[in-house]
Amino acid sequence: MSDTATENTIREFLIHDVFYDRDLSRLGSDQSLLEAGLLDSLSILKIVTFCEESFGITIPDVEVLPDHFDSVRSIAALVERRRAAKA
Amino acid sequence: MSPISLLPQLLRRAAERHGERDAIVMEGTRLSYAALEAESNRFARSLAAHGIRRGDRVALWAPKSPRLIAALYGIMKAGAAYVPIDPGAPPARMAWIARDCEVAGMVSIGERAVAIDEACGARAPMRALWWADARPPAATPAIAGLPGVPWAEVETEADGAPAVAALDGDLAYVLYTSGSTGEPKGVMLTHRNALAFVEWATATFALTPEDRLSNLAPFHFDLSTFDLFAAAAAAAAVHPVPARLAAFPAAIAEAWTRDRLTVWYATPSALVLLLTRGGLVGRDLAALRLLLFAGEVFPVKYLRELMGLAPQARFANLYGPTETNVCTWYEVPAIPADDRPLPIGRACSNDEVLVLDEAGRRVPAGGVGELWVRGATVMQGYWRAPERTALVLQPVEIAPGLTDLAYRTGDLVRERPDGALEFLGRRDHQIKTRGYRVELGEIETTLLRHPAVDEAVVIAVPDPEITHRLLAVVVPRPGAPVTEADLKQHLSLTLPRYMVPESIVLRATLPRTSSGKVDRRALEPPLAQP
Repeated sequence: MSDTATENTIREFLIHDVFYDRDLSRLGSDQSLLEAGLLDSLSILKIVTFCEESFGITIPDVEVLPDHFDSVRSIAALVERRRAAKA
Repeated sequence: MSPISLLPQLLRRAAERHGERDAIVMEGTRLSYAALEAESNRFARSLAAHGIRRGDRVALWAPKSPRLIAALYGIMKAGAAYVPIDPGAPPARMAWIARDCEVAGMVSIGERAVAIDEACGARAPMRALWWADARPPAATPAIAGLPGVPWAEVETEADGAPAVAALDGDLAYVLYTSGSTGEPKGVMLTHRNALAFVEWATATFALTPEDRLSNLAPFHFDLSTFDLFAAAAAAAAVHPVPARLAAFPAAIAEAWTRDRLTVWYATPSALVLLLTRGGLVGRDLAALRLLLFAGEVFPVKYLRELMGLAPQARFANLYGPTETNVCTWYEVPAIPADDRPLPIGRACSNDEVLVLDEAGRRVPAGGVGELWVRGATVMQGYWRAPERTALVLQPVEIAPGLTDLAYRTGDLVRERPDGALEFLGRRDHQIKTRGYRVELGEIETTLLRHPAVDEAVVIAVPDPEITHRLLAVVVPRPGAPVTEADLKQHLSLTLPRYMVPESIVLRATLPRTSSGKVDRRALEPPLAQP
């Protein structure tokens, strides 16, 4: 599966603003963020705020669950679902 | 009842009396006390088989699992001390701690083999590594000479604890905490240190085999000593939050209410998130009978809300730095009527607290002074750092003819008329953020190690939910192009994520006071705006 624009936006944010890294190639779309222990609660809040502001959506607290934040792909899927819910 | 002098004896007693009861419940797995006792015995034998001896240190650097808990008991049964390293710490920090503490072995997971190899390499004088997961480790060149022990090999060891002599004054664990000079420092704690708190807590909160305890704190955070060892002391079950869920308040709230946990212990930051983001309102909290919090000041506004959701439960504020574990406590008698901060209360855990002035004299009741702690939970010192230890462990005259070492906390307190102590602030640049203790100097020193940085100041801006947010102001070296992103990357290579400031501002100069010192106050207001 090729990477979507949403995935790339999220990947870039994760790399630069959550992991403070440079190398975009280090994060595959399906790589598990949670198994590697890459995200803490503050990171999750940052990602939620970023997605809400960048994509013009709202993510209710009950949707902030491990399955929705396990990879770049699953975060992008959540964003698309919230966009559809809004439309 | 035979007296308990070592932490693993708590486990053995629970296994003898309540062997069938759950010791650990995690991700659908249940491990009984009998099984945990046997597993930790096998691990202790595996350690001994690979040359781990009494007095050694063995590091843990892995996500939480039942095996990691068995390993931690096994390490103590082998007469060694466990050194829990933040599983989320960058490899460079892990390697620094492993080297500083001269660990003789490490328990990790296979997928971290490459990171361990790259970070520790040939400089790791370890005797073996243990893999606590089923995945085979990747091939690693530099540590390839070390035995890598898969868990399947541990399982082949005989049950029965190895016969290792140990006393209650031997080290049980070493906890690394932020150090103002730029390097973390290892707090040395003995079995007796831990037991003084565990025995107090088990009795005070009347823990029984029927209790189900939360465990959210990572093992390098001393809140976990209550979760693990007070549970064992009472033969109660502990429910560790798996790493996969730990960042998700809604998932934690769901698990804790679904499993009907009776005792919750967490930092106020974590509890506030459960309340504001976890959807705690509307869940069934009837099983909750005891809620303990520690690590920072609980904003009363949120505490009131939480107490309203579980009116049947006892609520208590536990206080104490890593160097003393819990040394004072305050049980909240009723939902607070006003927003005045809760006191930290009175001495506990066979400790005594003293309020002293700069000259080491007692401050009259009601006056402000520094809190000193003397007694059973006070650490042995910082690992291989006698000068740093001497700065904080000093002899204090308790009464004429009675002098003892006491730990100076750096916390400023005042005794209320009812005898409870109030926490007023710090006398240095140590702050709390999300329950983590951070020395601003450690971040500043790390910033200054970047070749393009001339000056650096880190400021803690008070925050209603997470105690403080971190912001940095940096003066770059003239002609050295550097960006905020460069500096965050630089920090994240050696510091845990919670120590990387949210924002780093570059400036040509820093404001100074008339005496030439950096004027921290002058830096605060413009930065405080989000």
